[in-house]
Amino acid sequence: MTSSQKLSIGPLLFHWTPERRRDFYFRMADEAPVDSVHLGEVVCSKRAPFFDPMIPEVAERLQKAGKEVVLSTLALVTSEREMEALVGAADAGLLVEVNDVAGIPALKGQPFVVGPYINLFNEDTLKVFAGMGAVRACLHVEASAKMAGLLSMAKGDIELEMMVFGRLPLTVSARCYHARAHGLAKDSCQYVCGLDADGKPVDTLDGQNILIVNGTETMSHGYVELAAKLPELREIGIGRMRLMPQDADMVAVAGLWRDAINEKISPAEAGSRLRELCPDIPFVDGYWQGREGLSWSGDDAE
Amino acid sequence: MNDPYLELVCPAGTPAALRAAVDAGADTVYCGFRDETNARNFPGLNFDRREMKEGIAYAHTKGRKVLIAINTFPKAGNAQPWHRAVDDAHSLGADAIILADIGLLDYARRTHPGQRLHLSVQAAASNASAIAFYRDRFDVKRVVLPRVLTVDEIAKLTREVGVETEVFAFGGLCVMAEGRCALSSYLTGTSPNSQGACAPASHVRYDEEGGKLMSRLGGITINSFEKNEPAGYPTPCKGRFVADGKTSYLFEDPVSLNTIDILPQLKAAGVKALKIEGRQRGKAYVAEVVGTFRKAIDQLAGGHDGTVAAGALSQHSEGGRQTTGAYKKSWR
Amino acid sequence: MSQTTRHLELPARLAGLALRPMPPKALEPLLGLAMRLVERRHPRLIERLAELAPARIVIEPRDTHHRFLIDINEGSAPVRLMLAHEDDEAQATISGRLATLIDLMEGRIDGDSLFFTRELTVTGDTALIVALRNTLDGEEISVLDDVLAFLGPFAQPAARLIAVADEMAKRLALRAQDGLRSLHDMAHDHHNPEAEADALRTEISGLKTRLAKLETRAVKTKEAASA
Repeated sequence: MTSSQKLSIGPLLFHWTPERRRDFYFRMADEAPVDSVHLGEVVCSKRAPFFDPMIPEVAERLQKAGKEVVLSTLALVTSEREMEALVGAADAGLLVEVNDVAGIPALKGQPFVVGPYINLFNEDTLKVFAGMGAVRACLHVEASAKMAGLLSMAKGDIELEMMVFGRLPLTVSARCYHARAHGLAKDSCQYVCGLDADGKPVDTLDGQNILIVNGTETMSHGYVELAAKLPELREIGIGRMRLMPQDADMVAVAGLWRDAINEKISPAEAGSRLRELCPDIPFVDGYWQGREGLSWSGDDAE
Repeated sequence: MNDPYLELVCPAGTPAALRAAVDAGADTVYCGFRDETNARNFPGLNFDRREMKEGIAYAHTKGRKVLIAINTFPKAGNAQPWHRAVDDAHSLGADAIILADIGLLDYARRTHPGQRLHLSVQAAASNASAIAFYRDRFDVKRVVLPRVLTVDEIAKLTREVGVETEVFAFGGLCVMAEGRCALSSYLTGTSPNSQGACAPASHVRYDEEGGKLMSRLGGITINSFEKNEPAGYPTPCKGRFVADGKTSYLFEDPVSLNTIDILPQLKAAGVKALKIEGRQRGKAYVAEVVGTFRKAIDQLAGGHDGTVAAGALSQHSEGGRQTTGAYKKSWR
Repeated sequence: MSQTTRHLELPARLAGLALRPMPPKALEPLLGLAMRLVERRHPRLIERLAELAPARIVIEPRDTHHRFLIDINEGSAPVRLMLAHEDDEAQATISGRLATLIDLMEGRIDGDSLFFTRELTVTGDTALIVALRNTLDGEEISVLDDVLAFLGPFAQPAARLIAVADEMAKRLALRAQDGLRSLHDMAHDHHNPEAEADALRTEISGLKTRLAKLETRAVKTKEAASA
């Protein structure tokens, strides 16, 4: 059953203008061959007020297009206001993705998605989440094929999801690095993270592109790209592939993945066409292989 | 919290350091087994079962406590070493076990119902709801707070959560939320979360190049030090990077946490325990830092705060510099 | 000096001695004696070091003319002086001022602190150096205590030991203590080291001889007692 694998558009982690964001989601609704789309601010609560008012309209448009809407929540919750936002998310009538365990009590037993920011590394933890109402779990960025396979054997009714395209969210902090790079503090940040639609590149002293800062979050410079691993992902039992929104033609990205899942094109072809779509970005897949995250198995073949 | 006594919780990477900590006035010592079940899985460090037994006996004879940290996340398909560590910590008489993984907390609570459990900083429970989750589900008695909170936030949390809070007082400063950082594994493939080592020494290289000392992690350049310039750990979060053409310590300078100057505020915030970081450090560090904090806490209890100078410990700090980190909002 | 800071005194002091411009031949036996004492009293150290085997680590006191090579094998970890132009083929090198290295060996100062202040340089296999540092720091080695313990059967009036041996052992122990103190002073004191070293070498050599005699005597006493 090749077509049983589903595609999702993960939460948009960058600080795009509300208009650009809305247009992006409208395009996803109208053109992208995906099954679900994530809304909601994950990185910084200061950004949320800009787009929150548009969420009902966008959610409706996506649902009318037959997409499941998932509301992703904040990765690092510290303030009262952020706690209240979690409670608000629980009442939104959408499937909620939890990225901090604080979200679980707030959901009061509603079904939920375990987000990739949650430390889910083993079967015992997966079972505890299942007992609390988790219906889906997007695996941690460090997840390897081996780990995914072992979790899959213990998943029961939980659907497993894997980030297969885009920058990896490596870590979160209380400090804003975007502000710091501009000589500002988080409190007076002037929303400088909005200046970089795909994050701000951070290079080593010897000029190697390595990381990206995106507000309080630090991400991989390379995009994870697992098209070549599609047969393996399928065999392991990963039911859903998550594409992370980047400053790229995401409709085309989704189209290639859909075609590969439906075996209209080979995984290799999907890979080479993704390469053409993002010519300047290195691809990585090291974690999947159980290696350093920034390595790329394509190097061996190319 | 009615109990105004500030408990001093001190690191021990070796039995010698445990004795040094106890002798220097630690109320409590925390340590781990010699494997990847603890978050300081460094070569030559930590306790085998016999040493743990002897260490606990030494501390208990002197009326002190020992906490065993089993604070990494068990690997899928191989929970056994972690389960055994919990079982052994319990049977060896640990005063509490420090855990981070939800599955392992579940195991410990089911298997050893009476065992006192603490929530590790690696769980990064940074708000009342998250702490309530661990309290209600696993009956954790204390939570070690991640280094992302201000003193005001800590005070508020401590009032709300109804479990003891423990905060970091001195030592290596995680810049990112603890247990939620994959920077080191992105460069090395070794995960602090599941293998217990950030910037593992096996992936660190120092090279003298053109009069400068280059530090590299997994072959990636982290920093370059001029001759005699103070250095820090080769962790990505304390490296020099280039953004917008500017070279800087984008994430954090080489610097260590030191709260000597804000101990009265931390105490007023209601925290139960102060934690010294540094199970990877030598017994000379342990003896000096623990002794200094012992003195500062005793003076505070006697109403004479402020006579122990923060600068006294600068030689033990990364880059020779100290910070109060996230405890002050301006750090963000 | 507290109990916890008296680690590895003898090897450290011998190291201090060894780093004076004096012929290696005169130093090797002293190093050997020190290492045998350590091995005898601290089997766990050797056991722990064996986990790193095989490994070769160079210790380089950069303000002296000498380098040491620790050759870690299963069950032993001999330390020897290196020849002036010897190719080390070591996996790792640790270098710093002599006094700094001695402080580190004795557990007086923390290795990370020394690294932060750039007083210590590590090249090659960093993990090996970290492991060696942690292993040494984890042992409470005080060679002063080791020597006294070595004299123990004589110093303690155990059953069937003759009184005269007991007395002699006590005197010897005191003198050994004095000798070690002098060695320590020397390592931190730079005037006329050669003459002092010679004197101390003679002293230690004399002590060794007398110890050996005492041992023989004790064995004979035991044999006589059990006969």
